[in-house]
Formats: sequence, structure tokens, C-alpha cells
Amino acid sequence: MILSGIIFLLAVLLLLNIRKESGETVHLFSKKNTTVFLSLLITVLYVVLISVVGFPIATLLYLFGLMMFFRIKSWKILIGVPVLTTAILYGVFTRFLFVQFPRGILF
Amino acid sequence: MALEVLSLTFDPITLLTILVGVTAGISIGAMPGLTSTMGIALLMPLTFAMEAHTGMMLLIGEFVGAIYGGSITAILINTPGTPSAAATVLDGYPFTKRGESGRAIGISTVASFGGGIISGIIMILVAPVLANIALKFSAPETFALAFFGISIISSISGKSLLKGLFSGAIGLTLALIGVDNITGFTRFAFGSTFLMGGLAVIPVMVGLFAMSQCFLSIEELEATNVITQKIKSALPTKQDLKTIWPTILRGGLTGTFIGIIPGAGGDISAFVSYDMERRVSKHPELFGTGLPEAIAAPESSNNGTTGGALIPLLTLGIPGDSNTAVMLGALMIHNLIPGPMLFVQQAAVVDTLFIGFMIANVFMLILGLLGIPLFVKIVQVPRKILVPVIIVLCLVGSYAINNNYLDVVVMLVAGVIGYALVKGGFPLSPIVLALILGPMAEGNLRRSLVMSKGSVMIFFERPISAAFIVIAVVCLFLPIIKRWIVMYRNFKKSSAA
Repeated sequence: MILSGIIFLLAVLLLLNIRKESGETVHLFSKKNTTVFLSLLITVLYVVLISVVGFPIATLLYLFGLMMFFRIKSWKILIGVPVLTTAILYGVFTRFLFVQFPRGILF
Repeated sequence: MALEVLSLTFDPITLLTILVGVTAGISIGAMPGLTSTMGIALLMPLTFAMEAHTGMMLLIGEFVGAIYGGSITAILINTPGTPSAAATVLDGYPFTKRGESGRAIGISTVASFGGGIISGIIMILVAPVLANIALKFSAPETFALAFFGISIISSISGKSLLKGLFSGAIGLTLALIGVDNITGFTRFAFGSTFLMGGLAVIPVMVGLFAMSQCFLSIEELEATNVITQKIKSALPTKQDLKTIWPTILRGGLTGTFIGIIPGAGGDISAFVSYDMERRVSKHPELFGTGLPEAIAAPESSNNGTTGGALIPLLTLGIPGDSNTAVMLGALMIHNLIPGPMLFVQQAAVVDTLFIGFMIANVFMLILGLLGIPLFVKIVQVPRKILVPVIIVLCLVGSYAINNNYLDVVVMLVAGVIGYALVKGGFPLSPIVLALILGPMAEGNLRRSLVMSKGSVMIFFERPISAAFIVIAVVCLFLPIIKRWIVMYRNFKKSSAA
């Protein structure tokens, strides 16, 4: 408990020191990063979706959606990659690793 | 015993696993934006269904392959596939400009193989001796060792000492989450039963190393790796082999030594060896124009760190870099607690890992010399397709460890934090190392204080623990002292003038 106090103090102190030391600011919210944040948002949606519709369907939708968002035009890729990835992952993890994926509340 | 080791290693499934690991490693390493640590974190869930030694061979194969694979894109498209190959770009790309990319890859392959084998031999010779010494360690020494590991990685790994220390402090704080082992007091759980068990290390690592890397890759989605040059043969000529063998010897040894030091990995050793080679060279002015020995030096050196980094991992349970930190997590899941006792209780597994490491290097040599066209194809897969698939892999991997949905959330949060930290110039490996070594340091600190009835002097009365603590403190203050000396010299100069 004393340890935790010391470490917390150290962390705060270092944070203050860093603020003082570096003059430059890091742009976490720039134009380049909007794509990153939107992708993160889509990923969060995906995680939520898993608990609703289950892993396979959510993964299919997510891969399709994210690649659409990345402006992939080819329909072969837009359909093929999600189907293959989901099938391989689902097969390997349920058959060989005996992982129970969340089925979602709908099923 | 010897028979057992042979039957474990030369089992067809084990050999196949090593081959898969090395192939995956070379592909992952060759792809700019995918690092070898990320590869290990992503492959780890697959090892759970395997036997311990087979699973570890997959990861070691990946490690060996990825460190080599970085050189392929360094040579072909002037972009290092992994940070370790940054030094290879300097002389590797000029070869491609001359149309000799096959020759450069051949040299790099042989050099990586040489470096790997040298480090393997040193590992086999040194590790058992070191483990024997470490057997005598008790609580104070182990605490000092963990303290040494955390502080040295914090001071070496980042560009700024403060940022490194800050990362280390974050890791230690994260390590505190959960129920206190000795008193049963709950720390930082915020009333959540999930947090009471402590953070699972693997989702945090997958998030920090793999997920954050995906975010970074999304920033540069349009980057494509187009390789135009056709590679005919990657077999090096006799003449080239003759020029590079002394370089390989030097690079391999330097790399192994640097690999042993916690916090210093392939990226540092590659530059050290490159610089060393330039100094001993008869024609240093030609460096940067495409010299065989200038590729051989960094490549033998960065693969030298692979065996080097495994030495402290296996003998002391202290990972030498982020790759071995992730491996430590995998070892623990397989109930192999790294440290001196591993050499006593699981001697056959340790020997299998040693031989498997050598086999991985042989596979790397064969794949590198013959399989380049395949890897060139893999490297050209666009990021827009790769990134979504890898994100799904991150999710599945962190879920599969405990079949726990909340681990996925932990992974995602760690990914976002990791992304922000990388953007701010904070190194990530101190976080993971502190997260792993934190509980080890804390438990042994408590135990030693019980041994000494509360006196801190116990750490300084024992020579080994005192030595570790002194080295750690010196490392922490070295940059500050250096700055003072420079300031003092400047002051003297200006007052003299």
C-alpha cells in the first residue's frame, strides 16, 4: 500500500517533469488521425456487436465494414477476405483450441 | 535423457511447427508496420493447445525469422521491416539500386544464420552455468535482479530517460492491480471482481504491441510495398562469403552480448556492429554505397541478439527485450516458470529449446535462400486488407486466453493507450517488463524484509544483490552525470575564452 503510494507519486512527478521538459506538443487530434479514431469507433462497435449477434456474424460485418471504410473497391476482396478469415479463425479456435466464442444474446 | 530430448525435437510435428514459426516470422518481419513482438503476441493463442515445448518452438521460430525478415524489405524497398533492420537499409538498398538485390539478400541471409548460430552456441554454453549460479539466489537477490531489470530497461529503451521511467512507473502501477498476495488487501479494483484477479498480462501485451501498431498503420494506409525488381538467385558467391565471414563472427558475438543486456535489443546492436565494422574496415569511406560486409555486420548482429535475449529469460526469468517479455508470458501459461529451477526440473524441455533454436536458424537459412519469391508476394499485400484482419486476430487472441469477454476490453484500452504513448515518444517495453517483473519484485521485497525483520540493509549486506542495486542506480544516473560533465566542460571552455 505504501508502495502504491510511492509509485503513484512518482508517476505524477514524472508527468509534471515531462510537461516542463518538452516544448513541442503532440497532435493526437489531427486530420490524419480522424481515420484512426473512426476505425477505433468501428472496432468498439464490433466488440459490442459480438455480445449481441455472436462472434461469426459480427466479424463478417466488421471486416466488410472496415474495408469499405478503407475504400477498397474490389468486391472479390470485400466478400472473400471476411468469409475466409471468419471461417478459418472460427474453425481453428473452436476445433483445435476448444474456445467457446460468445454466441450473442439473439441466438 | 539424451534420447528423450532427441525424440522431443525431431518429432515431425515439432519440426513442422518450427517451420511454420520461421515462415510466419519472416513474413511478419518483412512487412513494414508489423513487428516481431506483435507476431509473437498474435501467435501465442495458438500455442495453448500445443505441448509446452512445441508451443515455445513456434514462438522462438517466429522470433528468429522476424529479426531476419526485416532485412528483406530493408534491401528491396528501402524501408526496414522491423526496427532491427534499420541499419541494413544503409548499405542494403544501394545493392538494389545497382540491380544486385539477390546478392544482398543472400549475404543478409547467411549473415543472419551465422549470427544466430553463434548466439545459439553461446546460449548453450553460458545458460546452464548462469542457471547454476542463480540457483543460489534467495529473496533479496531476486528482488535486486527484478529491480535491476526494470530500471535498466527504463533507462536504456527510450530516447528520454524520464519517458522511460514514466513508462516503467505505469507498468508497476498496473502490476499493483488486484488482490495483494500476502495480506489479501484489494488494490485498485474499484469494486470490480474482474480487476480483483489482477490484469491478465497477455491481453495488455497484445493491446500494447499489436493493437497500437494497427492504429499506427491506419495512419499510413496508402503506403504500399511495390517491389519491381525480379530476384534471380539469392545464393551468395564464394568471394562474398570470404569477405563477410570475419564480419559475421564479430557481429554475432557483439549481438549476443548486447542481447543479454535487458532493454537493449536488435535495433541497438545492429547500429553498434555497423559502426564497429566501419572502424575496423580498410575502406570506411565506401560504407553506405553497398558493401557486403556493411550488410553482414548489422544482420549477423541483430540475429545474434535472439540467442542472447533468451539467456536471461531462461536462466533468470528476466526478459532481455519486448519479444522475450511476451515469451515469458507464454512460458508461464504453459506452467514453465523461467528461472534456475527450469534447468533442474525441466532439463529435457530446456535442451529441446536449445536444439530447436538451432533448427530454426537452419530453416531460416533454407527459406531465405530459396523462398524469397514467396515472401516478396506476401509483403505486397496492401495494408487496407491486412490491418482489419490483424485487429480481428488481436481480439480473438486476447479472448481465447481466459475465454473472458472483459479481456477484449482490456486489450482495446491497452491498444489505445499504447498508441497515445508511442505518439508521445514513450517506449512500450518498460511497461510490459514492469508489469511482469513488478509482482516478482514486490513478493521478494516482502519476503526479504521478513527475513531481515524489517531492515533494508539485507539488500546491501549480500554481495550479489548489492552489486545489482549499485549497477541499476548507476545506470539510472549515468545520463544525468554525463550531462553535468558536458555542462562543466562547456563552462570551462567559455570561461577560458
